[in-house]
Amino acid sequence: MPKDNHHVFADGELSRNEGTLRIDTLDGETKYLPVESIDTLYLHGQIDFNTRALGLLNDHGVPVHVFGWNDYYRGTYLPKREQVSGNTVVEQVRAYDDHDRRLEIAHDIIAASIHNMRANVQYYDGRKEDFESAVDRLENQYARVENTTNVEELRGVEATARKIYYRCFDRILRDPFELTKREYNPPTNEANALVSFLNSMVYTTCVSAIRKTALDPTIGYVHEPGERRFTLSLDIADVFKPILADRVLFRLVNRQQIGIDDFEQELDGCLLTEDGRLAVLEAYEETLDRTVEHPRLNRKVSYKTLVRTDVYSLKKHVLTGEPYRPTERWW
Amino acid sequence: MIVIVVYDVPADRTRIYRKLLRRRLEHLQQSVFYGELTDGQVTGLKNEIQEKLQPDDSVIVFESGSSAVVDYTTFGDTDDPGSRFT
Amino acid sequence: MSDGEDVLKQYLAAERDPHREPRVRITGLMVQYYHVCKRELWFMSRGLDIDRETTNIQRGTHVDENSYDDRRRSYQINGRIQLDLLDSGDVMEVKVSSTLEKPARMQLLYYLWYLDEILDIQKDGVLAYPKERKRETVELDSDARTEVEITIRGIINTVERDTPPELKKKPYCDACLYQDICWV
Repeated sequence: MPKDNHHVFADGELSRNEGTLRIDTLDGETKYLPVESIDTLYLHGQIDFNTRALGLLNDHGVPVHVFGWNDYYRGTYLPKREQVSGNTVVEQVRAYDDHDRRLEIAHDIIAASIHNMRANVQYYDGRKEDFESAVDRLENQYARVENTTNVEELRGVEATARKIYYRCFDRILRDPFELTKREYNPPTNEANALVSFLNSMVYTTCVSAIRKTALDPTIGYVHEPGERRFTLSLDIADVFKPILADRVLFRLVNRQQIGIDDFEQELDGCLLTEDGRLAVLEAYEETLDRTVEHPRLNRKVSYKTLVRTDVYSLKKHVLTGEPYRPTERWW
Repeated sequence: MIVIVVYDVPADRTRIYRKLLRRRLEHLQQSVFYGELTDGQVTGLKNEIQEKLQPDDSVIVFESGSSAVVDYTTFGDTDDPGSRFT
Repeated sequence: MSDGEDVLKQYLAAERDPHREPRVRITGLMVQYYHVCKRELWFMSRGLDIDRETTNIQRGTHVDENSYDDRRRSYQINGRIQLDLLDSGDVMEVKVSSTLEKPARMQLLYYLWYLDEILDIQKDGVLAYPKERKRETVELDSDARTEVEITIRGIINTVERDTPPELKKKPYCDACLYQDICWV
């Protein structure tokens, strides 16, 4: 059972006090956070902190993800790993460097990603509208994955699938939310702002899960290393975006838990207001807690645990050659 | 499991328990702490309480099986226990 | 000379020579794992470590630290074995429960064997289950000696495999530290 995340929206100061975390907000409130019971800390407000606070977070292995004053992800403070396994990193790099091994892992990731997109569209097929042709076309892309012979070609298949997938969004989302085209950096409308924010959350969830393993977050298989972000997290996030982000998006919009007035137009695009972000995060955290009976683990596991077991499965694959089974929605 | 810890100890010793409990649990009220812990954390917590215990101290640890939910009703100026937001 | 004997002889020779390292450093934990699950042993030997925060393993550690008031001293020997010596001079090993009795007994016997064969120190052992208020004396007789030697050969064979031993459902899989790696 993973521990809970904690999100700090208040502005103020984060410090170390009596062996735990203390927050003094600008409103004059003082709050203590149980550092031993926090999985990951998210900072959404303006927070000052010093190296003693970072040291404490480091001692307890708590990653910190920082979001800026607008809803963009700024970066991560990643504590050092307790169990550094040189062997694991060596094998991870070997798998990256070996064309066939890398391609096999990349195939698995993209296949799972497309499977999970299709599962979402299938869920809404008939419920909202007729999505039969989109389901068929995603099916085709899924089938093409196996025959791609290099990662670039594979990414092309993935891009095509994602385009087919995002084209369904406009019909799934209740008006006035629109998503005819996926636009980010900056997001141009409300639906794009929601997708961007939720995708950043999925990405950070993957960063935190990877830290719990001895895998190196910078070595991925689909994405090229050297990009600004942790490439392995980008890989794993592709598998989980349909499960963790998109379903939350549909639910929030269609049940009208979020409305147009939860956004504001800024010079740099369309942004969620603070209330809007809070509503999204509550729904996102609730989704991480959802459980499903795992076919091989003989117990119910939360979606959050699924991210971790997914990374363990990859780690086992690079070290033993046993199959990597990225999470393909089975429920 | 959900854990609630309450204590009643001489004034000069409250700091000791407060410090020990705050690291793992949410400080709900004066001497009341609440949170969700793993079995291992609970064992560790009890061991630490045991070590600090003096003759006049009274500490009670409530544990609710493996259930992740406890129903509660709040009155007055009270935050929701277990909130993940500050 | 069979390969099995050869492996054991090499191991003994390397351990007795202060300037050499055996091919596989056998720790007490490895002996335990060998008798619980060979796949677990293989994973552990390859550094396939998992996040310990979320498992039951913490419970074991805490029982060990706090269950007895007997005066005992802990020794770390060559980075392989960590044992507690009682005032009586016996080696004590503390376990949470007696359900996996054999692995615990074999671990203790390995300590006694190691002390005898490598360091020329002869000791008896006590296996203790504080939660069940149970203690059991363990001696390194010739049967036990043979069992330890079979175990050592088995451990070396297991960890030197290129791939992990096959997946097999065991009654205690659900309580295993490696469950989330093994079955995913």
